[in-house]
Amino acid sequence: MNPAGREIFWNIPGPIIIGMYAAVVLSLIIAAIGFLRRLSRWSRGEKDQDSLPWIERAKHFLTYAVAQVKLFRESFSGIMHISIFVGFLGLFAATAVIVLEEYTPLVFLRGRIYMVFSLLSDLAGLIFLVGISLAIYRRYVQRPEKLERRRGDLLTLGGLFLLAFTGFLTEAARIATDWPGFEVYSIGGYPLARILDLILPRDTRWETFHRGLWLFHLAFVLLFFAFLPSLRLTHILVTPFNLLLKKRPLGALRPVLRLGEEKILGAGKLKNLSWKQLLDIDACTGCGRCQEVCPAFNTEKPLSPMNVVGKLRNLLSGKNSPDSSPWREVEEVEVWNCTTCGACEEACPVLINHIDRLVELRRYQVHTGNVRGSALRGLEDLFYYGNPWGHPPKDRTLWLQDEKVRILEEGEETDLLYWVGCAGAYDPQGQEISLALVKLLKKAQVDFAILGSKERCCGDFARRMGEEGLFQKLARENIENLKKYKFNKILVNCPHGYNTLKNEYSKFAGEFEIIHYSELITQLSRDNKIKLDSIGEKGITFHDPCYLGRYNKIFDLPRDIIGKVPGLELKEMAQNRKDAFCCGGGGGHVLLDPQYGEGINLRRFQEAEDLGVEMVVTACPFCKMMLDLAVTSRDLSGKVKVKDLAEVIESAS
Amino acid sequence: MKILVLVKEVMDANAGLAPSPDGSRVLPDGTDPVCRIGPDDRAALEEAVKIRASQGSGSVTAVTVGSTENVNGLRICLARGVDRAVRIVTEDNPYQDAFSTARIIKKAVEKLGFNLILCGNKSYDLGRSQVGAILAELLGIPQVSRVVKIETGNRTRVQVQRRMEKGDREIVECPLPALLTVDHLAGEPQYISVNALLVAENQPVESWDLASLDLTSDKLDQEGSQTRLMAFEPPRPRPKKIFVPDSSLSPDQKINLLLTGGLTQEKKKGSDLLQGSPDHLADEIIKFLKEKGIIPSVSKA
Repeated sequence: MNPAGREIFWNIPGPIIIGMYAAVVLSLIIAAIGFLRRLSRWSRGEKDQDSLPWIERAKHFLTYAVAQVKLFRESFSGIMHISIFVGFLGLFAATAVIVLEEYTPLVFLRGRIYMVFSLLSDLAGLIFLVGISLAIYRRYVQRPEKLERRRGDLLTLGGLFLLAFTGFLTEAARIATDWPGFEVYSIGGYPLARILDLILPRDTRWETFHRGLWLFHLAFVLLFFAFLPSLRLTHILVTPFNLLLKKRPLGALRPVLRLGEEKILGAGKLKNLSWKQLLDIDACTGCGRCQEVCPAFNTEKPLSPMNVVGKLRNLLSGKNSPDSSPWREVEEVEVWNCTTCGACEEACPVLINHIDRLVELRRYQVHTGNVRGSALRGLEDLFYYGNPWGHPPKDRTLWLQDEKVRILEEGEETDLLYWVGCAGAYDPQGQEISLALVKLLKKAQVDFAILGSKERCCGDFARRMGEEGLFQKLARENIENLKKYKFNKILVNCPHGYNTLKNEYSKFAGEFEIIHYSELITQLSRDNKIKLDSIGEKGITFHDPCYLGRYNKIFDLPRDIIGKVPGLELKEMAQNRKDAFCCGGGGGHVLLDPQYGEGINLRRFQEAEDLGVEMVVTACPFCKMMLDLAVTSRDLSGKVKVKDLAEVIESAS
Repeated sequence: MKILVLVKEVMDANAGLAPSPDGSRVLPDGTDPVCRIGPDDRAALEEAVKIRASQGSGSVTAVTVGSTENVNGLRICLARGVDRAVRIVTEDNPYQDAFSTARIIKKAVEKLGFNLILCGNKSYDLGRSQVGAILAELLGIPQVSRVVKIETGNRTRVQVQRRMEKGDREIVECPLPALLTVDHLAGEPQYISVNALLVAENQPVESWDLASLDLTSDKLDQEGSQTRLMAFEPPRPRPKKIFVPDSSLSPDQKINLLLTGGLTQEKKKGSDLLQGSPDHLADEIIKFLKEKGIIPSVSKA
C-alpha cells in the first residue's frame, strides 16, 4: 500500500496550471492596485503627531485583533467571527504548507503527517463554513437592526461560502475517483464524497467532474483576491493596521499645532483629517456596536457614529475624495449631538476613534463662525470671563460663603492645591460639592489652598466644542499661572477638569501631579484620617461619570469608598462601569439646549429609578446637574436624591 | 460699496469695574479688565461684512478712536474679515464727550471716503447713543437709528428696518451716503474664534494721530467738547417693590396675590386659565377665536 499522500496538482494539466498562476498574479495585481489607491487616499490626510507606545499597540493587536475580545461581548457574533477568522487562517496555513511541499525540496506530506494535515485543513474549512453560515443566518435571518447594510454584502458572504464549499466539492470528487483509505481523515471531503457517490449517477466521470469543480473553486479564489481591497473584505487588510497604528486613547483629541496660521481649522475637506482618521473610516466594519451604545442614538437624536463613518467612507471611496467636503453628506446636527461620552469607542471592536473625528468636524463649524444660541453664548462668555456661564471672574470665590479657605498667593506654598473648577465655583449644584469637599479636607486636616479668582476654566468645554484656540489659550494661561505657585499635587473633583489637567495639559508643558478626590479619600481613610458613619440612606446606586470612568479608568475607587460607609447598599444599574450610559452633559451639552428626542439624562435616570434606590451618587458636577434635572422632571424631588460622592462622604465623616 | 464701521472698545462692566477714588473715571476692580466691543457695535460689524458679501464687492474699514493700548476692538473687526483697520490715537482722555469724538471721526471718514457708515446704536459703557447722530449731522448726511435690518439692493439708496417699541418695525429708505446706527437685535453674529483673532494679530492696524487729521487735543478740548463728565457713582440698589393686596379681599385671595406678587389679579379682567384634555382645550380656543371673529365660523352644510 502506498503511504498516504497526494499529488498536488492531480488531474490538472500543465497549461491550466500556468493559466492559474497568470490569473492569480492578475487578481493580486488588481488587489494591489485597489489597496494602493486606498493607501494614497489615506496619505493625503494631514500629519498625526500623537502616538502610543509600541508595547501598548502590540497589546492592542494581541487583545483585539488576535483574541478579538471585544467581539465576545456578544457571544453569537463573537463565535461567528472567530470561526471565520480561525477557519480562514487555517486554510491559509494549509495552502502555505502545500506551497512548501510543491515548490521546495521538502517532502513531508506523507503518511501520518499527511493524515493530520488532511484532518486539520478540513477542520479549518468546516469551521470556516460554519462561521460563514452563522454570518448569513445573522445578517439575513436574525437581521439585527444595528448592522450596517452595504452593497455587495450578499456577494461577499455568498462568495465566501461558495469558495469554501467548492473547495470541499473538489476534494470530494478527487476522493471519489479512487477512494484511498487514508482519506477518511478528510472529515469534510470524505463524507461529501460518499454523499455525491450516492446521489450522482453511477457513470459519473469523476476526473472531469473534479476538473470542472477545481476551476470553479479557482474562480472564487481569484474573485476573493480581486475584491480584497473593496467590499467588507477590506477590514481583513485594514483592521490590523488600524489596531497597530492607534494614535490616541479613548476620547483623546488631536491637538492643533498651527493655530493662527490659517483662518479655518478643522475638517472642511476630508484631507483636513489626519491620515489615521481616514484609515479609521476605512477600518469600520459596520457592525453597529457603536450605534447600539450611543446615548444620542438611543434617545432618537440624529446621530449614529456608524452612519457618520459610513457617510465619510462613501465620500472617501468617491472621485477626488480627499478634496471633497464631508459636509456633502454629514449634517451639522450629527456632530453637535455627540456628548463625547466615549461609549462608541469603548464598544468598537477595531478601536476606531470616533470622538476626535467628530470634534474635527465641530472645529470646522466653529471656525466658520457657525455656532448659534447657547453654544455661541457659552463660547463668548468663556472667552471673555473665563467660564462658560459668563459669571465675573471676581465672583469665583462666592461659593465659599462663610467657609474660610486659604487663597494661595504668588510664591506661597501648599501641599494640595484644590482646583475648584467652573461648576464648583459658580453652579449651585457644583458649589455643594466644593463646599463638602473643603469641609472634608478640613476634618482630615489636610494642608490645602485654592487659587480663588485667578483660576480659569480648564478649557474642556471649549475643546470638546471644537474651539481649540480658546482651549489652548486657557490651557496656557492656567499653566503659566499654576507655575507661579508651589504645591505638590492638584486635587480636582470635576472629572472634566481632572481629565484635562491630567491628560491634556502635559502637551502644553503643564506637567503636574493631578489626583481625583476618590484617590485622596481612599488614602485618607487608609490613614484613619477620616472615620465614616452611617448617613441614613440605604439603597444607593453609583453613576459612573464618563470622564472619570471610561476616560480615566477610575471605576473601583468610588465603589470601594461607598462600601466603607456603614449601612449603604450599592445596587448597580444595568449599564455600569465601562458600559455606563452618559448623563447627557458631556461634550459641552451641559450648556447646550437639547433639541431632539428624549433627554439622555431621563433615560439614564430611568435605570436608577428602576432599581428603586433612595439616592443616586455620582462624582461629577455635570452628572449631578443632569440627573438632578431628571429627578425634578420625573417629579421625584424629595424621594430620590442626587449627590456627589464628596457630599456623601462629608456627611458620613 | 465702501463701508465704514465705527467701533468702540470698552471695559466690560460685568467683569468687575468700580469708580476710581476721585470718582472721575471707572477702573477695573482688581481683576483683569475685559476689553471688548459692545453688542451693538458687534452687530454693526456683522452687517457691514454681510453687505459686502451680498454685493460680492466693496470694502469694509473699521475705525476706532482710542489709545494704542486699545487693540482688542480692531482685532475683532479684522478677525471678522474687515479689509482695513484704522485707529485714531488720542491722548489719555477716555471720556471725551460725544461731540469731540464725532469731530475726530468726521475728519477721519472724510479722509477715508465712504458710501455707508455703520456704527452701534449704543456704546457698551456709557450708552449715550450720540456719536452716530452728531457725526451724521456734521457730515450732512441722513442718519437712521436702531436699525435691525439693512437692504442695499440699489446702490444709491438703502432700505432699513428700525426697531420700535413692542416689537414693531419701521421701514425707512434713504439715499446714500448715509449713516446707520445698528441695534444688537439685528441678529446673532457669527462666532469669532480665538484662532481667527490670532490670525488677525498679523494683520496691520493703521494708527493715525490727531495731527494727521489737522486736529490738536487742545483745540478739541476748548472748542470741541460741549459737555464735561463730572463724576461716576455706583448705582444705588433699587428698593424692591413689595406688593400690598387690597385689604377688602378674602384671606385666601390675599395669600394667593402675595405668593404671585399680584399677578393673579390679571385673572379678574376676564382672562381665564383653561384646563382639561387637549381636545377640550382646542375646542375652547377655536370657540374663542370664532367669537372674536379672528377665524370665520364655518356653518355645516
